[in-house]
Amino acid sequence: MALLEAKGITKKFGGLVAVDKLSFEVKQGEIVSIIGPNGAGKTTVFNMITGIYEIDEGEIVFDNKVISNKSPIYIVEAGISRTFQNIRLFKQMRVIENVMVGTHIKTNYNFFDALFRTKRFRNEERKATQKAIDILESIDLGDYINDYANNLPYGLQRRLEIARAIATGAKLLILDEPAAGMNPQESENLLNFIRSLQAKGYTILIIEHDMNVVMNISDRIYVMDYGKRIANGTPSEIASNPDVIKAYLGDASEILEEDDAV
Amino acid sequence: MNMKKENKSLYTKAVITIGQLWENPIIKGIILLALALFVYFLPKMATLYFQRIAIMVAFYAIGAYTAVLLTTYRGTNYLVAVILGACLAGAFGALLALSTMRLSGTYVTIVTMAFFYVISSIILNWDSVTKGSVGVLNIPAPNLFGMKLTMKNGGIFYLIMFYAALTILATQLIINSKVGRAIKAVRDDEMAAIMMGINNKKYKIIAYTLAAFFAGLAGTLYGPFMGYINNATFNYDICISALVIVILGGIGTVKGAIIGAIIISPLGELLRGLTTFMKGLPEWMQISQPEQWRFVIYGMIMVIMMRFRPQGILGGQSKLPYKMPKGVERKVMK
Repeated sequence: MALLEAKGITKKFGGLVAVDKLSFEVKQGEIVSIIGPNGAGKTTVFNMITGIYEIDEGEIVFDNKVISNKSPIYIVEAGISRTFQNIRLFKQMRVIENVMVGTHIKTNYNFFDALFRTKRFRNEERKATQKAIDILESIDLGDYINDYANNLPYGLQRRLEIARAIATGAKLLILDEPAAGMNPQESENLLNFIRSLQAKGYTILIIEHDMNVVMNISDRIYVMDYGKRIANGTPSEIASNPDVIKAYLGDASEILEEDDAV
Repeated sequence: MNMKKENKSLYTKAVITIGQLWENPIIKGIILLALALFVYFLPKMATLYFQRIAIMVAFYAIGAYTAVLLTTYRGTNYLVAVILGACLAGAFGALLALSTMRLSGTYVTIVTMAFFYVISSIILNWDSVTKGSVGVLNIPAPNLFGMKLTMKNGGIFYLIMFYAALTILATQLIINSKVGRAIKAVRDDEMAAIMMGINNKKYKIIAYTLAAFFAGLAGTLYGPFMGYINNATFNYDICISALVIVILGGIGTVKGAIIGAIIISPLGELLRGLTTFMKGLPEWMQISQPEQWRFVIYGMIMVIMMRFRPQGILGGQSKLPYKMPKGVERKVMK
């Protein structure tokens, strides 16, 4: 039974079909990657899943609930949380506050509880803080709770972004190019970190350009080009798939033709 | 016995002197506290602050006029008038939030600027209600449960201090909660906040309404304190003072607004003392209104702060550890 299933989803921007009847599924506990050349429509897919874009055709089902064309807030509450290609932390807030913003939807008190510091406020606030600290310590950010987000090194900012996503109580984490801009050492750490998340029971969907990361971590890979799915399978299947090689490196016959022209 | 009485009168005198020096400024300080909350939505660009401060003055005017008109012409109870004034300002805040919901950046500034001019034009031209440029005269002193609070008995001073304390307390309670965090998150990165399940529209409305409510509350103090208001009371001068206070103290912090107000506010009064000093100077150095020097000082403060400490005296990142609620444990102790 798939945790997340996209059934023929389509997104058009005017005449441009950015995502064309794409179908894929992510099973509970899997790490699935979506790869493809620049402009293939990967980030558009993420924006469709998380409710930023409306979808024109098809349906997305998560945990037996239809989430397509629902509000982003509904989708977060259903259990999907994401990170961004260019890190989007709350820069002027502390590390712990960033994670506590993640606990927002799980913290149940209202404005007047806050104003009068009711018992409910104190209990909920204690629970939220404890949860934030537990998450931060479990991913080795415990030493940084008092720091401001924009003062963290790059690799840790990525990690904090994931911590914040976890704090929403998500079952499915969607990571948009988590290794972007990382050096080999940082991306190696990230690999181990993502594996440890899988071991904790999280299901993960990744967009990634770094082939080293993708090939090492993914249980399954979907390949997109021009908004369409051109291949899917295990990393070794994808590495030897002629269509994938064509999409990334171009057609051998094209190269020959160009040579002839010269 | 006599001694005690003398002490008491000395004390009252001191309170009144400090009061006179700071009262008007304290009212300004309260608007700025309200602003501190509002500033959470401002982009990190000083040029845009000014216009947003302008709308705080508009809310301030709404609060002031509502309370003054009710108490002076309707004989409404002071407390009732204050609550109505602050709530009406808050309602306008919510309206403004709704009307700027789909805008961002510079466009919000344009709408807020327009809002300021709409409110000032209404005050100037709606003669039958606001008395236009003639203004409202003989505003009665606040009457709290049979006690008249005036300048003479220092009552107004205590009232202002009470409002200031109330505003600081409420602001702090709100900022250090889920609501405050959500407001800050929306300010820092709206898209990321939405992806955390935060209802960005709801929290924008809350922030605008609160800021307008506190500005309106500060406004309700102004009328009884001065005894007279007209359309010229609510002008850009207040905006400039407010801007300098925020820049000096620290943008977006309550502490900063308090410190800035304490330093800047008595400046105008102190500079009035220059008049006597000026009389001794040669004629070409005489100026008619020495207190206008404060604008020169304001300008210098802004240039110096922007060059050397753009985050303000108390602004920027706190070095203190985050204050944990009771009962939170860290499993890995450092």
